[in-house]
Amino acid sequence: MAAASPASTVRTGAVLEVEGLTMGFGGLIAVSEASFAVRPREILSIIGPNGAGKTTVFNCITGFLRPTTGRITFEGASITGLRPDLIVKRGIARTFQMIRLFPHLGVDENVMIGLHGRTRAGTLDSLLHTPRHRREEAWAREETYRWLRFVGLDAHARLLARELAYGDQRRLEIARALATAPRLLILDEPASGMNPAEKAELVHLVGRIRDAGITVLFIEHDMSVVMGISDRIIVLDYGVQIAEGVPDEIQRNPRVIEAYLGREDEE
Amino acid sequence: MLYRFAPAAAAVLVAIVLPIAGTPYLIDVGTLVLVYVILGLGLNVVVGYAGLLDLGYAAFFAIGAYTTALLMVDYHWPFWVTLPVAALLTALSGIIIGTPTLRLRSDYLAIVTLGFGEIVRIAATNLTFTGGPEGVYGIPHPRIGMFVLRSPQAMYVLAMAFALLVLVGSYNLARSRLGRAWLAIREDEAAAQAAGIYPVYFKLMAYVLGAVFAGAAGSFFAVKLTAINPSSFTFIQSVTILMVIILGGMGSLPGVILGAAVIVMLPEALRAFDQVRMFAFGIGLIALMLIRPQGLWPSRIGQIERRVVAASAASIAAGTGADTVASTE
Amino acid sequence: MQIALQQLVNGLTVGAFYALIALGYTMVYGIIRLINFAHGDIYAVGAFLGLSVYGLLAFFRVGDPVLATLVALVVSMGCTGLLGVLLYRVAYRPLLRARLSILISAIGGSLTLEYGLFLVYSPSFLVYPHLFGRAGLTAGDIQISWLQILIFASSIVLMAALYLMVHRTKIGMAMRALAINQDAARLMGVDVSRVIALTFFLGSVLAAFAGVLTGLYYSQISFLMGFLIGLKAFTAAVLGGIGNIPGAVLGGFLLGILESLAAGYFSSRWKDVVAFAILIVILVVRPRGLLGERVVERM
Ligand SMILES: Nc1ncnc2c1ncn2[C@@H]1O[C@H](COP(=O)(O)OP(=O)(O)O)[C@@H](O)[C@H]1O
Ligand SMILES: [Mg+2]
Repeated sequence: MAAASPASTVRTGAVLEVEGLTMGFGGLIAVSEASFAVRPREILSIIGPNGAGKTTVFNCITGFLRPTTGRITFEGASITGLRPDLIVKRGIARTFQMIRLFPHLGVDENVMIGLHGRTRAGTLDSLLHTPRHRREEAWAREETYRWLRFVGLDAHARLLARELAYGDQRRLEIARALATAPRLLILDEPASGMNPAEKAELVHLVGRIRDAGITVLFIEHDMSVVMGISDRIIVLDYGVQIAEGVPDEIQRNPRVIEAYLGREDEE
Repeated sequence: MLYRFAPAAAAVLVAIVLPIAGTPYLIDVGTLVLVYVILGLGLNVVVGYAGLLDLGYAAFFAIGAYTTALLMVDYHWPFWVTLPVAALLTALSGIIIGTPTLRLRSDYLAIVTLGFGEIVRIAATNLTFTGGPEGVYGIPHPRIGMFVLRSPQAMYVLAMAFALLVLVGSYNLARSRLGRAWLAIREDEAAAQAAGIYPVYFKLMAYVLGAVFAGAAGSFFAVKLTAINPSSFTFIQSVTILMVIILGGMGSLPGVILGAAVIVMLPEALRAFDQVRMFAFGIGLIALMLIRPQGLWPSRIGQIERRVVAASAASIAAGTGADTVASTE
Repeated sequence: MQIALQQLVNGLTVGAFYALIALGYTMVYGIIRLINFAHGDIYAVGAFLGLSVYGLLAFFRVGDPVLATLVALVVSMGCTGLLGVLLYRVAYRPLLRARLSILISAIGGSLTLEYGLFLVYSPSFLVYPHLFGRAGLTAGDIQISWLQILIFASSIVLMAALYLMVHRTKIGMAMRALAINQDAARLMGVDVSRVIALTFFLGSVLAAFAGVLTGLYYSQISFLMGFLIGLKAFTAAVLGGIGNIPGAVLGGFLLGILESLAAGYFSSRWKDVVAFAILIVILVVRPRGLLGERVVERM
């Protein structure tokens, strides 16, 4: 029984299941036959040297790339090749390796846009500013502030996103993702470029996100961050998955040490 | 505070006094300004709010005008019944031309809309049922009950009613869920998708709303002039409408009103210089983009555009990353 | 069949014009991703400058048609090339990062050139000198004039020269590097701004060449002549695959032939509609054109 069916996903209890994922760009195979499962409420990290194909895996899961072959199942249903916005509606939210905010819009607006899929006002409601629309906007504003408080940015709500400090921008992007009410949150190197204090804060935040019942899948370079909060770790190298296990196992795995940790020192 | 309200108060005052005290000629000029206000507000939804460059906007203006004209002249429909038909037809043509093309890069859209505008104009010129180059004439005046709207005053009031409706609608759009989605797409399409927005749908919505506004303007235009022909719906017309919003300031509602007033009145005032008008438009477009991309009455969207232009210029001055094209490629 | 062959000959002639102009669109688009709306008008300027040179030569009693044409071509191509660079420097360079603004500026450039011609020259048609007559080869009912042969042959030579330049010289390599990755090209020491300026120069030179030859071929020119043909040349570039130099040539000839056949069999009043319809269909069905490569958007 190699190929798992949706039924087996339910049986294994995985939130997200990636099976035989391969992504090629012309001649380059960025990801080759990656398979892994994400369990409910766990924090799963994907690590690997630069160019290993980590971001590409995320882009495939979140619909920004259509995998060459392979199958992605979320909560028992296939989401392979689905549009990004539909995947958000299914309950997967993401951030980007290079922060992608709406720089000239307000901090609060950035989060409010994350509520897009959870509000219903259509063209006519918008054109006529109907009572329904007004009620929904009031709700959206409250919900926005709830998430801003959650990530600790409520004091900066009225600034423009571009005016925030770097670490705060990372957190704002997480708040926007959380506003879509995901059950799976995917973070692409959220700690990169942060100072140690900001990193500690981030670790704390990720813990609270998991406590809120959200499964977290993330890519991270900083080993202290990864080893500290991951329940399990997957290692990619040149598009191939070379190891999977709990942090202790990974730290002791000779292939990982050779392929990844060894090379990491050269950086 | 006063300086912010003074221009608005003055505009309202002029708008009210004009039909009472103005000469028929002045009232007609006012009516024409209102037509451009409607057109400008419509195009503003497309260009200002959604950030899509439409170079064939006059096509929708034409479809609205021809729909009303032909239904009234050939089938004797009342004006008010032709209105929803015009809205429907313009919306439909917006969907037909927009659905396949809005997936493309935005600059491709510009050229497709340009081609669409030319197709509509050439078709109107060559088809027999549209009256060929002569167009349609003898379009009846609209009536309300027994009352025929014929005088310059009556048409002015009708135009004002249209313009106010479109103005309120535009205002509502800007602060709605729809408006936020447009801002998001304009800022960063991938980020908007990650936030759960389907850009193609919202671009199409902007395009269709813009088309309907232009259709309404066209319907009014037909009964106001009582005769229409293809020469009112050229590429130059599309550029003129674009100029209205660029001059006023992309995304800015007071800007559109100001822009419409300037675009209509400047040539009227400088009739003798008609020869240089388009030349001046050309220079004006370049100069505005270089010097004041936010327009005369900037909105937030205009300010964003200004920043982008400034960043572009600064990177060239600094010699770093000069000449790099928009970075999302 | 007769009609088809005759229209094929005419189509190849018109196609040469489309191809020459399409090259300018495609090179600029390939390098800075800008639809240079003013490019069609650059071509018109080339035609008018050529006419001025002819006028000047006639004034100085230079009667030899070949010599006159050579001088007209060289002067017009040189001046128009510089105009293209000027346009880039003034209207585009400061706006390269501002997507919407640069397109609007391009529209402004187009209007400025069109109505600049209108003001400087004339609002009506101007007549080009009849230097080459209608003489040529006849095969059955099919006629090919010497001028048509000249247009076709010289265009092919120019295009081949361009191709060699882009693929065999250092500056051509810089152009290609720039088209692929601007930052990498800069790191490798390419003077980005100069290469872009050169691209505008080359595109404008080819357009001016087409301009003078269309003047001779159709014997009349007008200030708006660049609008429609510019749009069609862009269509040709898209048809061939925008950014791709052989693609622009292929697209140009293909469009010229298709359009001539349409004009021969249907009515010429609708032939412009045919061109735009082709444009829209291509963009929808196969936006990368015949020879273009699929571009994967990077995250
Ligand atoms: N859209 C794309 N087009 C072409 N190549 C890509 C694209 N995205 C990623 N790649 C290539 O795929 C490989 C894996 O990249 P990526 O997934 O970003 O690695 P990582 O996130 O592990 O650093 C790299 O060689 C990269 O250059
Ligand atoms: Mg990465």
